[in-house]
Amino acid sequence: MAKTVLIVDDEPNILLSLEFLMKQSGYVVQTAENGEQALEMIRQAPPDLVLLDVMMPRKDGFQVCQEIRQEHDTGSVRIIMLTAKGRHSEQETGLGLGADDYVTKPFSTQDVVHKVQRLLGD
Amino acid sequence: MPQWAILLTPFLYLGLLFAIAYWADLRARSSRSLVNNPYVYTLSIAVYCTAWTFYGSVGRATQDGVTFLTIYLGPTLAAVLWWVVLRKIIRIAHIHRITSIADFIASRYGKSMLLGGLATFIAVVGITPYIALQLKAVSASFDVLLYYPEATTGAATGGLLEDKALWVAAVLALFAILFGTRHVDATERLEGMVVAVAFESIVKLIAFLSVGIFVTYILFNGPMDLVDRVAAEPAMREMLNPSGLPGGYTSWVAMIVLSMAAILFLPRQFQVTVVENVNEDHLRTAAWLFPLYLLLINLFVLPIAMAGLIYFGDAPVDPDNYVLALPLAEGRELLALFVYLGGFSAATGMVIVASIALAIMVSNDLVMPTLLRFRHMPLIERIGLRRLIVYLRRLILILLLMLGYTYFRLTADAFALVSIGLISFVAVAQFAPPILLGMYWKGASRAGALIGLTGGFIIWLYTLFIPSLVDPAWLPGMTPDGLFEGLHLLNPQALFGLTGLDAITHALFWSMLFNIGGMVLVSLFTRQSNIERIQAALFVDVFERSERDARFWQGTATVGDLEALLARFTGEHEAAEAIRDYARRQGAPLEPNQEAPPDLINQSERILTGHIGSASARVMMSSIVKGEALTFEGVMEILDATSRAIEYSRRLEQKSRELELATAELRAANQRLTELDRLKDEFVSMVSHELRTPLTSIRAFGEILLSGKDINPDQQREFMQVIVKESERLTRLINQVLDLSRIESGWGDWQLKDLDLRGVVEDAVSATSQLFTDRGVTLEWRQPDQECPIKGDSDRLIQLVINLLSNAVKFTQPERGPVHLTLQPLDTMVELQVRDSGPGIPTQEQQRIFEKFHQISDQQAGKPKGSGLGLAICKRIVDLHWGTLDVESVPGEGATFIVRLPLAGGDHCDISRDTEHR
Amino acid sequence: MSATRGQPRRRERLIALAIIGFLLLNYPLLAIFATDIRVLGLPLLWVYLFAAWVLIIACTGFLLRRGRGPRQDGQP
Repeated sequence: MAKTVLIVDDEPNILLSLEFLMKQSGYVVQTAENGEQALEMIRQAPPDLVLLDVMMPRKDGFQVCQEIRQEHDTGSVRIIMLTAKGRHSEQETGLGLGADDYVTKPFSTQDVVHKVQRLLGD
Repeated sequence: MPQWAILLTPFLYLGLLFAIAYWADLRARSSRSLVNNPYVYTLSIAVYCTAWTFYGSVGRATQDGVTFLTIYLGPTLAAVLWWVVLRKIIRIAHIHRITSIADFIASRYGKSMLLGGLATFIAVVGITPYIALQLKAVSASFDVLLYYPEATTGAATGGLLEDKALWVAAVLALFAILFGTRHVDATERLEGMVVAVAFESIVKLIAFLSVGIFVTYILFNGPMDLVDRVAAEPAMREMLNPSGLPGGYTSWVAMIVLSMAAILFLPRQFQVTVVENVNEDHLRTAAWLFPLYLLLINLFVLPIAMAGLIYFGDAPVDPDNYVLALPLAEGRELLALFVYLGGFSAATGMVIVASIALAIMVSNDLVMPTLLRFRHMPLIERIGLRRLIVYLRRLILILLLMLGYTYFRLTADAFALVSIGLISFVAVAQFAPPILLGMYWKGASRAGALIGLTGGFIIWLYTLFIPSLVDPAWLPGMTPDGLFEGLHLLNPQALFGLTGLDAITHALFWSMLFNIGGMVLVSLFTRQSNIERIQAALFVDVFERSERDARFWQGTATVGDLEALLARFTGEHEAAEAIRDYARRQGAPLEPNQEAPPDLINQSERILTGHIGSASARVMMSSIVKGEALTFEGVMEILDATSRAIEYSRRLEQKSRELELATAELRAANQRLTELDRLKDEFVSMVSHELRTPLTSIRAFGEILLSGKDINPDQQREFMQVIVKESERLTRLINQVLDLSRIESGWGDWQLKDLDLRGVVEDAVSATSQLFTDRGVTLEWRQPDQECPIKGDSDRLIQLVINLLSNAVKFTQPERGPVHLTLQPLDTMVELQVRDSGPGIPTQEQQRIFEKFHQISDQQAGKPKGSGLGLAICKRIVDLHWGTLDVESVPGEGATFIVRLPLAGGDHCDISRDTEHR
Repeated sequence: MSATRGQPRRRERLIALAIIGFLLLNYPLLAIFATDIRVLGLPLLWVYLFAAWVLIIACTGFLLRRGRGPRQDGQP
């Protein structure tokens, strides 16, 4: 059965590119444009993996990550953070909050695909 | 009332006084002192109010109306300055262990025996009549009490043994001996005496207030009634008439000055205010409470005087006795007895303190220096100096009181009470120049003080004292105009032909002229000896120096010698204790044959000063210290070093204050820098984020396209469009960052010109017309007919309008209405409004939207995003054009950006001032 | 060290008060009040003298009120 990937980003074009890449890799793709929307979707049907942007309106990626990890049902979801400031501290914060990995924008498409595949055990 | 009761009462009262003094001494010994208390201190100062106040004021008031008040107004004014002047005297006296006025003067002028002796002599001669005055008052009032109404005009002069004054004098001598000469060390406080005197002050105040209230409100109907009745009698109206002041204005001023000096320099006042002061802080209370006491005790003087005049009329009653005679005439014997006790306490308090103060002075400054010369005589050796001093003081006390009594017998009926008191006042006023000048002028010299004091004293003797003592008729060749026929210029009442002054003012003027003049002139033309200069420095700068500075001796005496010397005056026990005490503080035991450290020698000298006066103490010390006293240069070096140290520490304090200030400034600057640094970091990281976002899309789609897998042509085209759009966004962003950095740097390459804002708006509208067309939004704009002249850079202003318009178009959906642009000139401004009909801006965001990279977090999804720099740039441009940029918005109904720019022609156009705007 | 440092202006204020008091209680100012006018049934000069007296006492007490500075106990 195909695994589900949720992509969360407020930039429509980035969303578009990641959606294309994931679909190309054979995953079922869902998208959300902000943190709240993402959390709602995760609670309804936890995906296998979340690609999570940090800088978003309403709820930022860190908060979403933290909440996912605190809730029992969603605790096992894999998370990859998408960071844009390129700072070490940002990446560490993400990992500290329970993210499994991170990707720095602008990212290499191969890199993202590899990381997703590795985490999902493919 | 039975005669024996009247006779017994004053002695019972004295018995009570003994008990109180004894009790106070007991408490002092068990460390529950009563005198460490500002109220006891103040009441003891009220020893100023003697029988003269109690009886004499009324007498004087009947003649001269309010003039009697000067004697109390002067001390009130002096008390204002106590904190400044008296506190300094107290500090000096305590540091140098000074116990009398004479010793103060002697010590200041180089521990001069001669000056100390002279001052003592003046004090004794000056105060003896005053003591006599008190004895007279006691005796006269007693006679009134006993024999009223028969003999009320003066003192009875019966046989010596029948004279109550003698008995009273004897009891007072006993009291003074018991409570005034117990210790040899005159710096030991006489707590018993102080408490007894304070008690007496309460008694006399209550007594006077009682008789005052009785006379004013019971005998008569209040003060207004008295005034009315006095005014009705032509013979008495003189009292109310203020124009009839004797001696006129000068006399009034002279009395105030005289009593200002008296409150500080009467020996008894010096004793209670300076020597018996426990805590300088008590002055805070005494300085207002003591004048209040004076006011209260004088409150009923005028009413009683008026009442006496009305009541007795022409009857032969001495006005000085009205206080007693009024209750007696009304048959109020108990009240009269109480009043008598009040006057008695006023008299005895003065006699006790004055005689003790004088006795200490005489023994330390007059007798001791002579005695020490013969100290090796067998008789003295056998008694021991210590006991000898005590015996001497007792003997001196008895002699002083006998002297007072003799003076009283000699001049018993000669004067009214007031004049004797004033004669004493003028005598002690002679101490004012050497003390006050000595405290504030380092140049005042021993020779000057000696000449001044001698001159003043001789004038006093000649113009006041001798004429008071001797009936002019007794002197051969005396005429009413002068002592000697033909020598009018030497008339003691009009010296050198000076007429028109009353006797007291006359004497005060001449004596002060000679005293101050002699002192200043001689001081200016003599050289001070070394020790004088040292003492002058120590006295004048007492608040700036520490006690340890008063060093004179170089250590060439052994500890054993010192202890032996101390023991001769203080007793074995105290001497050993003093040495041990010093050793304890130094933390090292002292051996008898060890050389004594200079500090110890100086401390010993001060201890001796307390016992035998400064001059004698110095002589004694030099007898055992071998070799020279510290050279003048040495001492001055120490003093200068201290001054330098003080100066350094002052400068250090100032420096450290400056440093603190600089540190605070640095800290603030650092904080600003840190803040700027943080802002810069934030800016860089925001720019980084904003650049990465379009780059991410470009790279991602670029890689997708490059991989070439599974992409249909439609998608390919879409992806390429995204790449183009994001590249444009990137370009825009880079341009804006560059714009911002240029604007941030101020005017830079701006071109400031006179512009018509209408042209600017037109250019901006045409530049954005494509954008409006693309988005399908209409722009409605209105231009005014008249010119809108402003001064500015046209490119930046066009950019400003473009930014506002594109911002508006971005947030407006075509179906919700057009964007409005209006331009209108106001009074001194041009106002430009850009209104959109977008979602609006929440109130809490309205201030922050002009910050760099601030993006409203609550945007609707899918909203086109800007760089977050547009409005920041607008704000900066408007700021640099001396204008304001505001936003008004109701969420959901659009937002209006309002730019106000000043019209051309104002001061703001002066480009040299623009630095402030950067 | 000098206790005057606690209240640097106290000294000057006291001196000023003494000068003002000296003027108030002396001629020529007294001459203004030395008239036959009565206040409350009393000669104006008497009332004036006592009033000025009370005023000076009150001002002295006010200037010497204990400041915030540390209290100094005992003798120097």
